[in-house]
Amino acid sequence: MKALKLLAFGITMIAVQGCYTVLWTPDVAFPTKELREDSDSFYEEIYYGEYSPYYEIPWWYTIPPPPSFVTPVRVRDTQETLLRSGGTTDRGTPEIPILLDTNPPPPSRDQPPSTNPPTTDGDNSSTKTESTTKEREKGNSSNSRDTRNNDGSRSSDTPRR
Amino acid sequence: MKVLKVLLLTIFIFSVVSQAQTISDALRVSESGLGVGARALGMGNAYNGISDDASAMYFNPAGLGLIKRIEVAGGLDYFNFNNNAALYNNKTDYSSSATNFNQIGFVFPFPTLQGSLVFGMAYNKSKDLTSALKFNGFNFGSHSMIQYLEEAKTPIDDQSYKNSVPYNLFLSDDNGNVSTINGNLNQSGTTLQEGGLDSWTFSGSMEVSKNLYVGASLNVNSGTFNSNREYYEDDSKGNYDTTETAPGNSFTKNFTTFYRNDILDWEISGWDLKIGTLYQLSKLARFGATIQLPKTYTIKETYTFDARSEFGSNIVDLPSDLKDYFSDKVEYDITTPFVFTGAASVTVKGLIFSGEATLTDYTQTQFSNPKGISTSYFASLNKDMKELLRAVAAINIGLEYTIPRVGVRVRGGFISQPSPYKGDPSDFGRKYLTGGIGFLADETFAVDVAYAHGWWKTYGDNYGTNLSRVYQDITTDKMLVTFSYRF
Repeated sequence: MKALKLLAFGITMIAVQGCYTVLWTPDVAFPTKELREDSDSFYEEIYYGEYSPYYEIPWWYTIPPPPSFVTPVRVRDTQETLLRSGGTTDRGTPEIPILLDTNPPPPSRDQPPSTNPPTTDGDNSSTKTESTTKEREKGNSSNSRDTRNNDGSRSSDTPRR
Repeated sequence: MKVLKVLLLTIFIFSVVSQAQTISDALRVSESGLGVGARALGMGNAYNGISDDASAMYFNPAGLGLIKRIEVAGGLDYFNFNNNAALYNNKTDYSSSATNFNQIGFVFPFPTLQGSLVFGMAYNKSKDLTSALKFNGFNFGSHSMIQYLEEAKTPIDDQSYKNSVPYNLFLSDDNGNVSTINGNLNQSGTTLQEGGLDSWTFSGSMEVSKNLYVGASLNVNSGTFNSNREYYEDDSKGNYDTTETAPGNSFTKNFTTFYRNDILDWEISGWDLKIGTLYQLSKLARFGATIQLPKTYTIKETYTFDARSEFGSNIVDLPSDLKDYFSDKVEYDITTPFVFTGAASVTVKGLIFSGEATLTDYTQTQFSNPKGISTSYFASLNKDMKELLRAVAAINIGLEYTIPRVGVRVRGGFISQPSPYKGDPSDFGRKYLTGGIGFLADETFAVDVAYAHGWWKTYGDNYGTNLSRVYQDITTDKMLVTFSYRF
């Protein structure tokens, strides 16, 4: 009974004072080294060598942060989505110039950037294809090569014809 | 001193007829063992002010808050107990050993933006109860266990002697009086004890203010203890070759041996709580304090008694109904006292000094909830503990140096645990010298090895007070290996 009373007293004191510790929750950025305020180090690396990280570096510093909290991953997801849809700018238009700027495609003998002639077929499907091709020529160039290499997207077949 | 003798005699009279509980039983679970974790042991268990690995759950649960990586730890120990015992100045050496899992622990720190919140659970072997005693000496005095058993028969009625051991082993006359045996027998015996105290520990720690940690450990305790005592009185000089030990029974001439065997089995269970706090002062020092709340152990005790006498080629066994009469199954609680510890550690250029003091007031130890034992006996025993025991301060000091380039640490330590008995000289206190070494691989896998050598003196009486006293020089050796992996 004494034990329970003492425990209750301790918990009450902590509750009344408020707690210094702030737990990470999924709705805030993952606590990387830059974001977290660490306590003083007892094992300085100069004196303790590899024992210093053994004691002082939190385990969550050594793992990749969860995807939903890192912006670059979100950009890559967007890129895939756009290219799966044939590279049109109908969805996510603002991202397309950024993607092109950051990953300029190298010239390719198989797929020169601007030498695809327009098709002469008169059926509807050909028209659609031409339209799609023109869109890519305007804004996407040969970026479809990267896309196929990444995921074998069907949408990249059309420009090669 | 006279009061002490009377009290000891009273206790022993109770304990002769059946295996009554004694102060030693209470101290068996009250006195601390050598704990868990090789790093801690290597530093003389001066670890309350460090406590930054899984063994924090045992030493100072607040220290868990210092752990920043997921840790899995396990340990194995080898324990050897050596007893050099002297009876009537004749020394006999005897030893016993045990190998046990020392620790299995898991620690999980939650990701935090600030501060620390860490939980852990562990199995800890907190105390090894292995011990051994062997003695052999000729008693030239006019007393013996046989005579003492006759004296200890309870005078409830005139026929009580018919339930006495000497009467049933033909070592007394028809009225139960041991009139023909008068000491001058060789006395020898062995006592082997084994078992240990285990606990399943559930701990948590939190940084409640910058560099200030508070933690608690809930221990679910269990354990076993077994004691097997064999005692002999032999007529090695032929003093009773022509004496009928039971007059009128001619086969009782040529008495050679009296033998008794006491087997004690305990099943131990209970729970307790330890709370602690730890403050880290910048990069320089840590200060720790813990309160071990009283532990309540429930003891389920089975006692088995046997005896026999030998006359030449004739052997007389104790009748089975009397074996049952002296044997019993009882249950009771032992509550240990509060234990307060204050500790500090300082780091200076790779060198860590640590020290702590632990206060235990053994007079607060109590027997309670007797089942199959008289309440008045426990009241008497609790009073005896108040009068015979005392409060003591144990000291632990330790040192560790890290060689940073090779990832090796070397350690040394010293433990002093004074005897809980009033008036005992300092050499009756337990002392240990410890040392150890630690290695770290890939910043993740640590191996620590510790060795502890202990020594102290004690004594025990086979019967009466200072009639057949066995003086014991005890040494112990413990080797402990701990592996820990941090993710």
